[in-house]
Amino acid sequence: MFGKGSVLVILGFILAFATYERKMNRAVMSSSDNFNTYYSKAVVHESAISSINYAINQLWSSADTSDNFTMVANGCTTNVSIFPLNLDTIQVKAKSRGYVFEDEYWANHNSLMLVQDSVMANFSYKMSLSKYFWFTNNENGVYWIGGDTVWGPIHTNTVLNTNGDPVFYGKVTAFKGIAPNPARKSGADKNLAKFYGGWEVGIKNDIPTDLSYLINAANAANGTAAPNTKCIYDKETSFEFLANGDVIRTVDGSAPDTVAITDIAPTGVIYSSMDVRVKGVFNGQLTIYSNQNLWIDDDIVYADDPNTNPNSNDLLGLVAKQNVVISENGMNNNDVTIQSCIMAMDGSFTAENFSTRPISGKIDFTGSIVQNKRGGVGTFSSWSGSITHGFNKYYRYDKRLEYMAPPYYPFLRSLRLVSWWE
Amino acid sequence: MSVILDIITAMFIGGFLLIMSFTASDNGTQAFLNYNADAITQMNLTNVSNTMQYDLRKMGFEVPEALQGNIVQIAQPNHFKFLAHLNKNAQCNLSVSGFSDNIADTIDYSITPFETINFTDTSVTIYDIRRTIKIVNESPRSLIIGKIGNQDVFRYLDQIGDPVPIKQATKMVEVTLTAFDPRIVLSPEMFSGGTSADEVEYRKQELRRLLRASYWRQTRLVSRNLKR
Repeated sequence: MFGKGSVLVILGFILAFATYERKMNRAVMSSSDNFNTYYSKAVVHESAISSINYAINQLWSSADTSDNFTMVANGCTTNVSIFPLNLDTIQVKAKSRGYVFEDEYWANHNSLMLVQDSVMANFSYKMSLSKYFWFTNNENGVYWIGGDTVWGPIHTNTVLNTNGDPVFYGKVTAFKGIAPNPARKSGADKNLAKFYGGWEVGIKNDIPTDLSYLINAANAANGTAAPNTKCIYDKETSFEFLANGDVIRTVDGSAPDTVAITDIAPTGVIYSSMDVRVKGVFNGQLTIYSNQNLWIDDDIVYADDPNTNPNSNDLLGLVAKQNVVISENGMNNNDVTIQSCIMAMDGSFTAENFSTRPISGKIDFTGSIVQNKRGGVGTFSSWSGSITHGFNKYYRYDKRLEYMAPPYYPFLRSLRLVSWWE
Repeated sequence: MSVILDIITAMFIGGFLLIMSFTASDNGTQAFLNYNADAITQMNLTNVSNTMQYDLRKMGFEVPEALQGNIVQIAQPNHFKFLAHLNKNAQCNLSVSGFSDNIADTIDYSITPFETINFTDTSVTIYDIRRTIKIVNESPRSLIIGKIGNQDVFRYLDQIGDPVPIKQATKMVEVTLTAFDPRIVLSPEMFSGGTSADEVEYRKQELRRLLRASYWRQTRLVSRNLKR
């Protein structure tokens, strides 16, 4: 009797302790399960990221805009797809899945728990060059120095030199590096510049050399009209813009006539195989492409100033195969105001006789400058730092250029991230 | 006589066993509660972290070019607000109604005090994390997603991990979440509130243990939409 009772008591104790032990084990297990689940989710997520990076690399190197494949890594299977959304936009998607042992899920389903994650990115091939505030193929050894404050993106295909603490609010990209190294924030060779928009090196963007589509747009609009009457010119021409949207046009020194911009450039493009001279108050949207040089003879400003009205829709593109030059004349020798997007494909944006002309005040510039080689607009005394010839610079980025561009303005054709969803 | 002796001995042994079982039960329950509270705290912290990571990775998604400089709208250690397009299309839609538009939306995280436990010579404050999603043309959705032990949750860093002087320069966000170890917070001795030197000293030691034993999670989240 007593023996049976003892056995029952011992069995009771064993049962009670086993129950408690099991509950405690469950509590401990749930902690490690939690850790494991989090880790597994992180692995699945990182697998999706790795796969999409692989796909982007493939897109970058092969320019194959349509593909589907499966990647297996870290115990995860990822389906990747690359497909075009439209002519210039590509979407890359990666959906990754893996399995994790989760105590509670196992108890209910007797199977491993499925963990999934996906990442999606949209890329664009086309970006207007006017989006850059400053773009050079060759910085020509010039330094950005303390006191320089730059809004908008900057790019160069050479080294971007800084000295002191210039401030860059837009992203800075340089193919051959930034000197000194911007990651170095201490020591003798530290970089004091402020890169608030971030920076990246090793990125090469060539200035486009084929602008035939610009000429084609002008030709299409010109139709059967004789040269020098509409939007195709083969003689040196001056355009003095008027605030009402008209322009006083002077072809090769002949008598000027006044015409509406929209009449002579229905597609918003004027092409000349010779030099073009511009000045005035511009109202409308237009790109002028000269196969030679483009001269700025006096102030050229928008009728609706984007510095005071961000909703202004006036946009002027001045594109030259050679140089865009600020003329040396009486009007330009006491400040010049320029509001436009400037591109000098093979040459520079420069001031005529900048090293010999008199001190000419400042260039009050609003817009975007793209040039093959950084040109000079003045000289300064290395002793006092003050201007000895030419212009001081007062350059501003036209914020509208982040999302607007003059008609048919030259663009870069390289892969660019538009949006990233994960 | 021997029967009486047997009964007394049996009662004695039985009582002893009963006390043992009560003690074991009490210890087991306490241990279970502690482990369970540990697990719950840890899981809550993970869930909060997952939710925040999920949101922060969408920072700047499909925000129009004109607003790129304003993606980070509020950048304070206890308050973070940013733009993300949350109902652009069917694939990326957090809208309740499924409504799509072309206007950027906002996600807002704010850290506010929930409760302060006063230990006489020091105090411990628990904070709420409030997440508010505002999709244009929908009512804001606001929810407290968890309770944590630190107020300064967000640090704003540039691409090499240095703190930024202006919010527009933010390229990544460091999120730090802590939760106090519940088994120490629950320690009954902490609440006695005694003022003797021994009790104060004990409490200080406990608090040091508490802080040392807190769960802690730190994540640096890089938004590719900010880096492009």
